[in-house]
Amino acid sequence: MIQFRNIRKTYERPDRARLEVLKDVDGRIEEGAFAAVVGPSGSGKSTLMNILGLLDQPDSGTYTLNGREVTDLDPTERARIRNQDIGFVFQQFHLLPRTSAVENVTLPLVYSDVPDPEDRAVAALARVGLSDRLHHHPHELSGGQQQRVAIARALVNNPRLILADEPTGNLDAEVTEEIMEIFLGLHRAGRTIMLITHDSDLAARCTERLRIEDGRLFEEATV
Amino acid sequence: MKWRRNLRLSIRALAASKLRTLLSAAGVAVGISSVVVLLGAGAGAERAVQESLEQLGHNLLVINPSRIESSALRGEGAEGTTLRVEDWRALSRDVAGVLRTAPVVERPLLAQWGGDAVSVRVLGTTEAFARARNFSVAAGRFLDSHDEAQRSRVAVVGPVVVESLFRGESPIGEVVTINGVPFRIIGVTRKKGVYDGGNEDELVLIPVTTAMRRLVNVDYLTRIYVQTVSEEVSDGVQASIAAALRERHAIPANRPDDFHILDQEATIRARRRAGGSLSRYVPWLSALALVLGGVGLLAVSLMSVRERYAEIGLRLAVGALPRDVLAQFLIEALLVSSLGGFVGILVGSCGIFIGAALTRWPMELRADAVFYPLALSVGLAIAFGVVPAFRAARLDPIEALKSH
Repeated sequence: MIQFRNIRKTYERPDRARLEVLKDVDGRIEEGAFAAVVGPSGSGKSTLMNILGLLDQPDSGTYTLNGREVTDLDPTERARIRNQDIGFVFQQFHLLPRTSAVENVTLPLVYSDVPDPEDRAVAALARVGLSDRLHHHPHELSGGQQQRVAIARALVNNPRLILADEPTGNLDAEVTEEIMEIFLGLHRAGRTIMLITHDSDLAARCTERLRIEDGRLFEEATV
Repeated sequence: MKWRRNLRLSIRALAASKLRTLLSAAGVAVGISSVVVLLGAGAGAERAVQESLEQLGHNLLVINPSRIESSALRGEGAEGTTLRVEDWRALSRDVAGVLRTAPVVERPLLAQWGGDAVSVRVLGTTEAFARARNFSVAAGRFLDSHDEAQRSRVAVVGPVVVESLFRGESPIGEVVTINGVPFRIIGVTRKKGVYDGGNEDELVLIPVTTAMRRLVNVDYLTRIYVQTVSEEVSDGVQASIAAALRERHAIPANRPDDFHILDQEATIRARRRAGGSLSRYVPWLSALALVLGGVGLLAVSLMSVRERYAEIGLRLAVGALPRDVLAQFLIEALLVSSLGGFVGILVGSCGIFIGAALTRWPMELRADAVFYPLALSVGLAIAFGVVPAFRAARLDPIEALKSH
């Protein structure tokens, strides 16, 4: 599913010092895995996710997604893959304000030619249990409901890979559990999920754990 | 498909922030409405000049005798006596570039019919007068060369005379008495209105020969109309006329003319330009209003892009290409600007109608007063919307997603 080798990423800080965020990272996530990525703040978790999500490019290394080398694709093709094969869930939800749940979920379909976008959005919202909130605006929804709308948006194009960057970071324990249940359900349905989290309890319930520390990646043994 | 969805999203984004949308549209509307009013005023002024020229007759020179102090002493008013019938005949015969000429002997006199009397302006003239001065008859016929040769006592009267003396009944064939001389009415002129203080509809036109021999008994003319073949030859014809008249009147080189020549068309155009000295600033004011509207649009668009960094980042993340983002923000600018354009045209048109009704400033709404402003508002959107749109399209999705 996902295979990456010798990924390096260096940022230049404003004071011109070079910051090596990822130092020669290798890794592999199998189809259908539910992988947790853990590690201290600033260790490079988000950078890795941005690279794997084709939002960012590594300085060097190779990345194979669904058996295809994608490191050197042109921006149009990368955008198409983000649209079709990857679903993003962010800590901040990133829902459009003053826009209904259905329309928020429709957003990725604006950039692809699929028929009946509304029907798909309604179906995606049903999968996250929000059939009764279709036309609510974000400010009328709780944090957990907003994140569920965001998950529905990640699902609407039926991608094989879901990248979630601390999706429960802003939610309380009870709601975190609800969201985790949704991810576990998606996992059971065969979706490949990569979950960045600080929460070791959540990480413990995943099938794999990748720890990033000081720009290096370690696979932790599955319990 | 994609376009329609993008358009719908743009409309929703604009609807979501109504105040911002309305404010920037209002800026555009102010600029556009001022352009509409400007175009309306320009069209009205052009129409006014055309109407004056229609009333006066095209390419027309007017020769008047100079007023001479001593003539007042002779009890003949302030009228000059230097223009002779022979001068008129010589001008028609000898000066190149002249299309036609018409002599005029004019007197304010009393016209009587059936016990009523009204004061009228009696003009002794010729057949050519109708063409030169753009007169036409509404009923009957105009004076002809036969009337002139026979010194017939026939008259063509204006509609005001018909109204006041004949109560609107047809006067053709009736005999009206002017200064004790009976004239048979042969025609009625079409309504022309007031020009330069004189009512063109209260005239009584009679053959110039009849006027000079049978009515007022003078041998000089009040004025001569000269119609030139084109506007371009006007200056040359004026010079030729002046030279011919000076020679005929035997005026020594060191003496001034005893006549003067007026180019009415040039006068009207000059008057329009002079009247336009105020309106000279109007285009600049309009341009200023347009630029201010555009800057408003620019400021609001930039603000909108900044506020929506996270949204742009998200769109890029879920598969939007930079050109999709560019298109969306351009569409939004176009929608706002078109809205402003429509409102501006509406407000400007109302301004024209109100202005035309309340002031004497001539204004009218023409098709180009709608078309140009619409094109302008599209131009504004592109000129001032393209910078924010490019800024949005160039955003790095990771950076954009971080801002919230």
